[in-house]
Amino acid sequence: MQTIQPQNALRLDDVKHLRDIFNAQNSQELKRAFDALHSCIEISEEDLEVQFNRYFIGPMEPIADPFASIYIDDPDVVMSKSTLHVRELYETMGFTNPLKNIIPDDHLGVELDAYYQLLYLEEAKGITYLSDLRHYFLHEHLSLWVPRFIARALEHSEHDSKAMTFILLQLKSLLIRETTTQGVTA
Amino acid sequence: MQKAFLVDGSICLGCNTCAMACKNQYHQDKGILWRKVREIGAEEYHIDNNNILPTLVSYQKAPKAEMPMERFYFSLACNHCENPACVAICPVGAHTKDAETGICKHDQTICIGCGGCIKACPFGASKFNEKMGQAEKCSMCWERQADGKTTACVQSCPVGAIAIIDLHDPKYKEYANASPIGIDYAINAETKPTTRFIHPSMPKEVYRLPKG
Amino acid sequence: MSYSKENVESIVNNGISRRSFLKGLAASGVLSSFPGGILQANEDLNTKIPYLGEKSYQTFRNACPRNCYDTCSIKTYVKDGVMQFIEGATESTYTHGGCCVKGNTYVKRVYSARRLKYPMMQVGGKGSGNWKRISWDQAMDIIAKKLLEMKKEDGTLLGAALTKYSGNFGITHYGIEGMFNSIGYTTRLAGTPCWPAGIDAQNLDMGDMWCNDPEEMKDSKFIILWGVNPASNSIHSMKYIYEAKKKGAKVIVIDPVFTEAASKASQYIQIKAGTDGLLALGMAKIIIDANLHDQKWLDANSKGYKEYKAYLDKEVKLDNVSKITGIPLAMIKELALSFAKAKPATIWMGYGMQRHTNGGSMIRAIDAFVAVSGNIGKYAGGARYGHLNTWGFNYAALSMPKPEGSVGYTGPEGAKGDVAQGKDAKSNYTDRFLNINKTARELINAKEPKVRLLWVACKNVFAQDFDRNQLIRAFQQLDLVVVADQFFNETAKWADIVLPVATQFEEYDVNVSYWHYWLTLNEQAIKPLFEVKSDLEIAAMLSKRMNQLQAGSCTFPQSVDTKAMMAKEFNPGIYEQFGIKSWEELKNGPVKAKAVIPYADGKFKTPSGKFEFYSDKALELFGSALPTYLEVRKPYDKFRMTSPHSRWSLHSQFQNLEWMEDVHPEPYVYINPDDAEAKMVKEGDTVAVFNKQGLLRLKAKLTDNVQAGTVLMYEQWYNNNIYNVNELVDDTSSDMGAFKTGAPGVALHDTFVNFRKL
Repeated sequence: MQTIQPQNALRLDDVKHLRDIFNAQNSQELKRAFDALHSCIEISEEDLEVQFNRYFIGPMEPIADPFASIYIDDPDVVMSKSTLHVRELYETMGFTNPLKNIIPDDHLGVELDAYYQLLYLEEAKGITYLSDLRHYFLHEHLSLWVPRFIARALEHSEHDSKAMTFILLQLKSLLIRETTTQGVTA
Repeated sequence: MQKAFLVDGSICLGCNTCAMACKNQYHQDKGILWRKVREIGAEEYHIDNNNILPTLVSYQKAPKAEMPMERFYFSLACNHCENPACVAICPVGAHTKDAETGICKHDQTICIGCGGCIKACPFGASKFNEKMGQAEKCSMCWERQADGKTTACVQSCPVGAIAIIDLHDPKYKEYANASPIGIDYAINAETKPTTRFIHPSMPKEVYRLPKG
Repeated sequence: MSYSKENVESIVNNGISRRSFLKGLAASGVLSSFPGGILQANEDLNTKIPYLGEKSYQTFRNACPRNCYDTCSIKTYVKDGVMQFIEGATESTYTHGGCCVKGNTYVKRVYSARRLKYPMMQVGGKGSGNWKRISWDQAMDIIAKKLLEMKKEDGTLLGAALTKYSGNFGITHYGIEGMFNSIGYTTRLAGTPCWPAGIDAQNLDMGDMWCNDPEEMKDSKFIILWGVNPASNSIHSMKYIYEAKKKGAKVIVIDPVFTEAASKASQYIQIKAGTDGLLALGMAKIIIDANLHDQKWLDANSKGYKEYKAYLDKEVKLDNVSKITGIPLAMIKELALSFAKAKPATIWMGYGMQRHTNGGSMIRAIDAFVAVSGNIGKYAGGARYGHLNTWGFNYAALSMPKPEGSVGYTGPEGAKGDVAQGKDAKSNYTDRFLNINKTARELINAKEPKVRLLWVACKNVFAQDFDRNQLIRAFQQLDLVVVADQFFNETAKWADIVLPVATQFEEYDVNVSYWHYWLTLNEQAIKPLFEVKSDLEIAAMLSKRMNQLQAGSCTFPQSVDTKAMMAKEFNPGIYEQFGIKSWEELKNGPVKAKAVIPYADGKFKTPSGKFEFYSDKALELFGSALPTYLEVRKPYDKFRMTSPHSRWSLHSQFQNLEWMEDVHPEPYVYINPDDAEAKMVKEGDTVAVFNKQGLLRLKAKLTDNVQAGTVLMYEQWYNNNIYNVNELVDDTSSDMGAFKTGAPGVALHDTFVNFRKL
């Protein structure tokens, strides 16, 4: 079994922490994942969650819904065409989704999870032919909507949250790195 | 055969069930309605909205019908013309007229978004979808009809104010008006719209309280 | 490293290549889980979802459980666990294959990005906007602990209040009341703003509220649509009215407004609002004087006809009737005589018509007129208002016993509500009832104990109840407000905890209508999204937590299956009435009750067993034994404001959806052109409409659909718009309602306003 090179491990961790942030089910999980990003921002667990909810969850209309279909298809519904396209991609990647039809397949946390797992298999197990699929997912799907999601979330200065801004910028730079240098500088 | 919509304004409630049945079936993008319920006598009545360009001027006439506000309606989608302008102008064959049924179909997988049909259709039936950069329109639910069902709008109408008829059936040829009330609808005779209308009228006796 | 987009797409899009691609993955031992089945080729590059043929979908039976005459039977089309589109069930002659503009937005509603997804708690106080996720366990823990703490301190749970009304009329949703029954004696916001005056009137006259089957109207020879607008609010009824008209029947609309229904009638008669009762009395007098009344029927089946006739002779002067109603006498005579001569003839009385201070008396007067004409108990006849005749379920979800030792209210009143339950036979206690139509005031003033916890379900308090500022105060002084809903609304804004609730597509239920006679099964068509739960599951989870903390503190089952709860509601009576042996037969489509004509046998559940022109109960409760003329509320401002129900929404549901905004974007105030001219208001001007209660700003439309002296605004709620007609309504009561529903109704159409150009 190959060991993962240190810089690749960092690259994997970046994806993982962002994934964990968007998949957090409670304030502890959220704080743990946020702390792992080493932001140097001091914030209480509760404030972090309140801000996160205001930006992405609700119950009032969030600043930016974290679902691909909102930015690709109809801005007001989930589970539309592109959601089902992503579902097919997951099936092609070989994943089964226990949350199928419960959480939309194109939820950012789920998509980051798919990306993370594909990257892990490439790095940790050297399965390279999945990389075609990973690149497709990155360039033909994630790059279509995540930048718009980030832009929408960042444009609301009246809800200026340092912590959320940090997360979004991390996500933005991750996407840029992945699409340009493919995370590897050699 | 020439399948056509028969629109009965004398019983239409203006309830918009038909317009929403179409949306329920196809999930069109925001702001795009393939079927619209138009209020007779309202200023916008005669202006068809294809979302991007003003409709050809020959169709725009001042409404001649004086009717109470928000009481009389015609439900309009594509007119499945006998001589469709969209089919004539489409450079890639995305618009076709079915030889057997006469339905004017639009195939979005072929559409290149040139906008020709948007400009050519005198009724604004072809809508421009800015997000997709394509045209789209009512295709008389031809897949549903092929499956033995009727169109979503006809199925859903609570009073049967929309029906599908065969214009080539002699009983329908002169049966109803070719123009909705108050507009010279069929003025663009070259396209020969097939939609037929039954005109509404006010109740025979209307008593309103005297002023003062 | 590059990738080939075409290559990948051809793999994704082409089932066969995908199969071998996946085989390759499996062979390398990489995948621990393997997708089952062969994926279909994605030929679909359409921008819209295509129709794929009936066989491509799984279909389910659903019902629209909203507060609506038509209560449609729905057929839901699902693909791969995702709802694609709906149709109206074709098996129901009433639904007839189509829903309405609102029902057709259900796919949008279920998948709305704005649906509540998780239980959440508002930290930092009600209205702060700071929300934290909590788990269902945490939510139930907080609520259970609060309830038990209150019980300990007060010795009773009368400090816990429930306000629940018509957001979902599915039978198992009475399990929400059941949840409150199961914890002890509690406080209920009871009564109904909707139709109570007329319910009382019909019960006083006939011992029940029991209308004929609406589908019979196709055979009526004369139909009066009295203060009702089915062209907007019961569109499925219109086909029967049209059929009757086609066969030569006369359809008359009597209404202060020239409504959509009026535009389709044979004749429209505009009337001064609130004078309909007098018109009916005048019409009765006319047909009696012409000897066209059904003396035989009256002798056999009525009580007090003599007194009633004496009243008409002495007190009802036709010239006065004409003057007060504003209708020419010749027209009144023509109407009355034509009605009497047509057999069968029927009158449909609307709920709008009785939303006046004299509403109950008006329904009584019209009932009496129909009785005099001999049309009670006749096929295609009748004085139609509504019925609860097909609602004879077990109410198993509702009927949870109080825990042992529960202490309650020892006041005199009995049980209340649309579906009144009898007083608890074994105890002297009852729940405490507060008037739902005075929610703010009652919540603030309740004493011994104070109300400390409020549970809101199937209701949007801030949309439907009155006096917004006082409501905010009322909510703020409560310890814990729990709002169970599908969408975030203003009521949720003032909550402590919001609980995300399932739509009817995510749970089982069974539905009937208060107008037609069909029975519809509601199957679970899709998995509940995110963490939404059925109201019944919420009740079960609460029960589980309460019993963990204090054994026996809650009798609601601690785990439920909505399908089993639905099945429990059926009984031999329902099976007999609908001619089925099992609820499973409803999977094939809705079923209609066996035809019965109300009162055909001349039996009435009144004290005398007859139709009562003279009612002792009416005298006792409302000061008049006979259906005498009661003057309507006098204006307290320049213009009457009438606020009928819109076709675009059901109270605060549907207009919030973006599809609805496509067909109907904004509210207007409709003003008579003469009134507008006097105030220099032009079409499209923004005006302020105001009175002592509040002020609204909106655009004007000028039309003589509305009579001079009246302005019209539809009752509706919009996204991002503070428009709400209830801002202008004071909570003045209608005359009746307390008899059968626990509280009088609200005289919504006796609201008066002024307006000016802005």
